[in-house]
Amino acid sequence: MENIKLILDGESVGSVSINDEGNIEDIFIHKTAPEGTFEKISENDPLGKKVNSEGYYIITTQS
Amino acid sequence: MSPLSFGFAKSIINAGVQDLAVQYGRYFVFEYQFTNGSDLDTRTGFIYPAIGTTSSDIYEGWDRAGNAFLYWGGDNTGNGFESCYIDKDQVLAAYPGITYIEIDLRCFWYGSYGSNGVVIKTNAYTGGSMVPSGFQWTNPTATYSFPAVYSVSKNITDTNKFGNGSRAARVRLDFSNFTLTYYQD
Repeated sequence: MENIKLILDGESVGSVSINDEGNIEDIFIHKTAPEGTFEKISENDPLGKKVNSEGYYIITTQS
Repeated sequence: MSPLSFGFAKSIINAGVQDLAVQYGRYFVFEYQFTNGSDLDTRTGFIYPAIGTTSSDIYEGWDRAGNAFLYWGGDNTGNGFESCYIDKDQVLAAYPGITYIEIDLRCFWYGSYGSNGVVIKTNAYTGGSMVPSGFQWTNPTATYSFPAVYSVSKNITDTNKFGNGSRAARVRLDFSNFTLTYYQD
């Protein structure tokens, strides 16, 4: 299990716990994250291997 | 008394003179300043009174839930500042009779190591309301703003993303003697 920094549209909003198979087991959202963050993440399907080379889990919703 | 006169007194704080910020301040903002490297992750918690029982609720910061007495300014993945403030009145109401507050200021590098080290800067305010500004806190409606007190720089080499970081400083606000003291151990 590894906790990876979760970046939503360029902003750090929390962390994702990724198991040894590379799947997300948990998502932790900071109190400081904007309202609606969890919904945005859910809508944009975080279930994928999106960890970049610097160790950040990146989700982009803006085109 | 004007804020400027508070600032004058501040310049001799290290001589053990009573600090007007500790005497009159309500909100204390602890800023971690890092001028190079990237993505310093901070872990701020109470040493005294002891608040929280697990690493998640003792410390506030990335991947930590913190507790109701710590107000974090968010996660800076670049460089500059991260910050956390406390409300002295809130703490004293919940822990009546305490004569000092001691805060643990810890951090590690999630991104790249910064050789300039980390400096803690404490600002204090009386009155008004705290407002987030970037990753810092300010209080534009404060009755008084007290000039910052800086710690000495600490070289942080910790890159363990899963721990509680290394101590940049601990700071004690002593309400009996009205002193603010940084410790590096």
